[in-house]
Amino acid sequence: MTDSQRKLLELIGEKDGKLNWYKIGRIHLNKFSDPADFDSSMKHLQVKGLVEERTNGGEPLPSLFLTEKGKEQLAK
Amino acid sequence: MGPNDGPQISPTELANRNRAEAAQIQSLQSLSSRIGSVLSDDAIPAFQPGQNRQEFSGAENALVGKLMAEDSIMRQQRQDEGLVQQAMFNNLVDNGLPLVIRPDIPIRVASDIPAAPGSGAFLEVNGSIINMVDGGGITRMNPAPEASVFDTIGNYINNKQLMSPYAYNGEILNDGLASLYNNTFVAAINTAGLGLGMLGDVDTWGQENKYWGPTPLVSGALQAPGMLSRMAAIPLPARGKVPNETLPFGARGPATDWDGFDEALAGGPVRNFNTDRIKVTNRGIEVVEKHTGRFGTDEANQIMIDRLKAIDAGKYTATQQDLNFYSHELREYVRYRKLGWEAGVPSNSDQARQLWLQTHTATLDDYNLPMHADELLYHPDALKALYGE
Repeated sequence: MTDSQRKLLELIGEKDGKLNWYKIGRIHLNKFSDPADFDSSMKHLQVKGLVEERTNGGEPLPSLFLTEKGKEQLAK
Repeated sequence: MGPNDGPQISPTELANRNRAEAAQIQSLQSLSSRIGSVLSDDAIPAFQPGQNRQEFSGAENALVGKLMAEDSIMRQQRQDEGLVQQAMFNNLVDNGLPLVIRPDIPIRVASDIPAAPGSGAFLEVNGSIINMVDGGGITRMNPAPEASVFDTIGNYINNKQLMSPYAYNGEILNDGLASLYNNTFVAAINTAGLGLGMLGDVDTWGQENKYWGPTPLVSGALQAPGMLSRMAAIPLPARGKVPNETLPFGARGPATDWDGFDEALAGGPVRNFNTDRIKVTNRGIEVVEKHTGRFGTDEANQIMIDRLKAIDAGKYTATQQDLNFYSHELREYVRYRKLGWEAGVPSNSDQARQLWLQTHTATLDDYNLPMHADELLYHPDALKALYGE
């Protein structure tokens, strides 16, 4: 896991369910080496099953949650 | 319309379509131009229906006839698009339409709303400028006022020279570093880079006119000023200051200097706007609300929108953050719309995120804002909400 992926996992874990990709991108984009790094890190966490998106009421963008696997990874 | 009711087509395919249409337009028209700043609709005279139309005669009658035929459509468009655009159209009619426009495509007055990919071409009236707009391609149809020799040279120098990103702000540390930087590094780069840039331009001119073929060495030399500029773009500690760098049309700035950025995926090349003539209007605020609403409930955005409404009502004076936020969201909306997303976002999160990353970073560069622009886009009250998220 790269530093960027770890950082993103921590961000999502801290605000479990309160963030979506837009909010993360807008506030934390500068914490990644560039937008492509942010994008690929997000994809990686989802493909690896560490993070999942869930619809959030009437909100147009789904919220991000840690999966059990993601919580285990974060605890390491 | 629901949040995901936009066209179900991938951003890549839309971009390819845009590219093809833009290339087609460019092959038809050699004159390209820029539209002025979006929604800078001040100083437009009041609309007076029917004013001066009878003054048209002779060859112009054909155009008047066409306009009359378009009138029923125009009336609906006027209702839809607002009084300002009515005034722009009538202002143009009053001052005489140039005869260079193509008679086979419709005329619209939507100065800030480009055509969606796949829609037919139309002529766009923007003050005294007439553009042909087609799927994201914009070509000026009437000639711009002829520039003097001095203007031309001045424009050339402005486009080629590295403009220092560091302004003096009265802080000892900042001003000392800015002075050192501007008077040494910037001066040296400009001395070397301007000559290389001219050499490169001569080379490009020769290739375009088939006087000679590709000359990699000269083309390589042309890259030097840009490379030096990149090297020079090291941020000073004065975080949050607005860089005064001026980007030439289609250039890459700090926010789009990343692998994967593609202007075709971002709704067009980076432009060079500023907020000098931006005026907060109720109509603009509605567009900002519509655009930011596609991303869902957001306290920081709402605080900024409430501020804009108060500014429009005369309760506040706009701060630079207000103007930056307003112009950024309007311009980002235009980019979304150019890519076929007037409303909603792609239902696929990867595509939705990619669409935002492309358009957001391009829009930052449009107004010469850095990648990390929170403090430049949000009032301190909104920042509290932003960081509390």
